[in-house]
Amino acid sequence: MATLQTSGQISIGNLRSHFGDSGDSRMSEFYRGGGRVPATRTVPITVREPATGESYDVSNTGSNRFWETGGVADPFDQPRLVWNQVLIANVAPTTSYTIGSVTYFRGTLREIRTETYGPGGCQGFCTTESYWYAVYRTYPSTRTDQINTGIPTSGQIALSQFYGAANS
Amino acid sequence: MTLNKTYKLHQIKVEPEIDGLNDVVLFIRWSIEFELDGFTNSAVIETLLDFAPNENFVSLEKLTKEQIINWAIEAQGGQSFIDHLEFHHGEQLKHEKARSKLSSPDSTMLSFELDEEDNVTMPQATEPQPNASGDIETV
Repeated sequence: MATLQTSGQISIGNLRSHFGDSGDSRMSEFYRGGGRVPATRTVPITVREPATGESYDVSNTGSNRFWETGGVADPFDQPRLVWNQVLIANVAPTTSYTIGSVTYFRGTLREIRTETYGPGGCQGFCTTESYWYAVYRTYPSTRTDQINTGIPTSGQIALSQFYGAANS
Repeated sequence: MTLNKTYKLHQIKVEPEIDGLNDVVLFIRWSIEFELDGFTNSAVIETLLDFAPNENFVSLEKLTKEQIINWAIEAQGGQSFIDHLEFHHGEQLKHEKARSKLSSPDSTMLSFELDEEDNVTMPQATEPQPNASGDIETV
């Protein structure tokens, strides 16, 4: 991205060079959004959910976001990373877990649940603990910014309206 | 703040044959261990690779761990991805490091009590005590 000067004289030649025009130029070619002068710019951003803090909801009616270790010594009770009621992975809480372009970060420990089960292999009733954490996530996205807003889209154009104009 | 990083490869999955090429790596499970002043945490990453036949295909037996991890980093977005993880992991490590100072013998745990009207009774503040060297430390 390059921008034009912000003061002093601007010529048609400056516009042609800056916006990549050749041959004869008409001022109407330099309307904002008219093909040579972009009206928007796509900017890469990182989205964080939630925007600040972290999420912890273990209710089945709410957002249902948590990361837990799975305490009971049972092959069906595995650690779970859950986001918006969707099981993302049966993975024990590391500090972060990335799948594709989304990274889940383990937040603060919110609950320690003690479960007693049995009788079983531990010769009686056994107790185990599971650890339940809050979670937040990030992923890449884009944002569309309005640019060159000082340049008209029709009608009269003054060269001074191109001060600081961006070519992308 | 720069953390020490150790890259580990845990698992790869290969497609036996694609377009005449054998054992094409399509999935990588790897991790990065971050370390700051003796405190560590880990990032686990599962990366899917897009198959793109090219003259630079490397057969499975010649692949190295470093090459595979480099592919994974590139597929995840390159250095900006590593920087992103490092930032978040670094914040947690700093937090753990700060917390560890609070559990030292020189720190004091203060508990707050609520009365019947949920008003907090402030604990009696104590003067910080000097350590063995005679210095008063602040956290």
